[in-house]
Amino acid sequence: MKRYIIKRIAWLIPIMFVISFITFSLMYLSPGDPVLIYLSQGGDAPNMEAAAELREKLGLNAPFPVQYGRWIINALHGELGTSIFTGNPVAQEIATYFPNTLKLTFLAVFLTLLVSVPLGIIAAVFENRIIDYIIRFFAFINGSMPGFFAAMLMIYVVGVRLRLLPTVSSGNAKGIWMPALTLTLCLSAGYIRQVRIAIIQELGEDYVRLKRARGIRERTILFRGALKSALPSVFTIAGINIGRLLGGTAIIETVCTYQGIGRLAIQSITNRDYPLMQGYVLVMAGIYVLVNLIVDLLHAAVDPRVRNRFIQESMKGAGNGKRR
Amino acid sequence: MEKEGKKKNDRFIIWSWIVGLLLVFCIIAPQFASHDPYEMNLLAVNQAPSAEFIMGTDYIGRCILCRLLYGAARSVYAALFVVFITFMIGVAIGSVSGYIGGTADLCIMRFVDSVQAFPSLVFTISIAAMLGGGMGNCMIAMSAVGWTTYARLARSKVLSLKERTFVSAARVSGMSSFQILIKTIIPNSLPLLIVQGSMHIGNAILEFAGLSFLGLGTAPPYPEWGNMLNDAKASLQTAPWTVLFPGLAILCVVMIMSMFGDSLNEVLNPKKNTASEKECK
Repeated sequence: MKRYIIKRIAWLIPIMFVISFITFSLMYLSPGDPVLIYLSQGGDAPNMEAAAELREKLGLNAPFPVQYGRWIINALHGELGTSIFTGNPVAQEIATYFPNTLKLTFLAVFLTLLVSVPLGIIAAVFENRIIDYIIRFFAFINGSMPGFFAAMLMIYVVGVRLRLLPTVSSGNAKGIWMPALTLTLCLSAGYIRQVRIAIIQELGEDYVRLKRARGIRERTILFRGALKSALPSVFTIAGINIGRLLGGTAIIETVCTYQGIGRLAIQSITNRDYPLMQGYVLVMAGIYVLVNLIVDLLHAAVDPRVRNRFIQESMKGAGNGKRR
Repeated sequence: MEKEGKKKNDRFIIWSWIVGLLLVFCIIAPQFASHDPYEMNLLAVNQAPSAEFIMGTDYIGRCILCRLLYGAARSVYAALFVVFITFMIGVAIGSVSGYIGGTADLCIMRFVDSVQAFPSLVFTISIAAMLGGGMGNCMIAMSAVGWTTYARLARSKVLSLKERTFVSAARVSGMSSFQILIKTIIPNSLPLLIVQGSMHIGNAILEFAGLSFLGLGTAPPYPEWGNMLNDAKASLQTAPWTVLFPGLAILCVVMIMSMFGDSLNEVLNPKKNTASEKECK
């Protein structure tokens, strides 16, 4: 197990390296000269001499590897440059907006679990009966719905018609509920399906049959047996979703005008604010990789079956390495 | 058992017909439009559905139904094309990588890992934005991210097939590596990959609409469902039908595509039914 953990953590280094390289080259290759964009902010045509001077000052004339090296070293020190649009350091901007998205993500995943675990269990217990079909039908519709459409429907129904929640989320204590409920609506489709399948699979296992044969009550089998073994994988999916959501709430944040990091990123795209985007992509990818690692390790810690598979895999990997 | 198999086949045939009709309809849809989708009419802004404008008009008085019909081809075929491109690139890279093995394989797979380490939406949006938006650029961005899934799948399939007897037989009979790959290994790994591809269509439509919604996809004034929703954003409170109809159009097409994917999965992949259902989020 220890060997597996070390191996997984060691893999982070090359992956982060490639991520940073891709991020940097994306911005480097992008059309549009950041210096000219910066200088023409006031609306005047930029002065060519000033542009050349600024370019020299920012080190933009250096060859690609040198620029990349400088950028990486700065990034390791937590300096991600300055936002062209607001003039604040990128790290500061991200630190301001990130907690909002974090709150939103956790609330949404919590609500999703609250809704979909019971529904998934009900669907599994009544497999192929009317209740199951109804739940699956709604989950299916939800799953095919574009997130922004769901958000707009929510705003119209809950905000405009029922007047339960504010239609604009920023600067409002209740603002978080609109995007959170929308995300719940979108996410629960996949969860219900996964909980249902996990429980159905568990109920088909031999140990369940054995318990049934021993005359243990169906309810006990479900809650003490099947649910207990199925839940770790459900929570793993939830964990992975937290990582994915942190970067994936952008569209819904934009529709609900929620002050999160996703909306900041979309705005930075509209403003052609490259340093901010670069910082955002790097930070988000880093968090995503880390969250996935933590989730995997936790899953292995909770579920002995997964742990065994991991250990076998890492042994196999080691064996292959030797052979080569 | 046999009866069940026949039922699955029937379902697949029905869904194929529906998808086929949908694809044809998307192309001929403009014929049914009663108005010019670009014609602005400032006297009829945000009008509720009526006999003349069955789905109402948008914020500059354009007929929503006509724009939906004109936008259908763009919205659906862009996604199909992306799926096709990612499929080809992913399968080519993945199967070659798996077949060659060794250091090249290791490097390619680490690259795939890194691309997949990005939250895909963030990555797609930033590539599309870097390239400057537009329909073509969005499709490039989606392909740049999407091929990795197929590469990984194709590789794992090739790795397991590579050791099989029929491949050794082909080698002994003097086929070149390329021939072995094209004639024996890839055809045998296709079913699984095609299922993956069919499941991907719905997501690709959603993703493309999302990019358009953010203003990165189709440039105005061309109609496309995602950017129609973007246009309608401001008039949501006063004219909800401007949002409702394009949204429903996307929803219906995505539902049809996922039903098609599911039925195809049942036909091609009967054993792994539950497992693959688990994978398709």
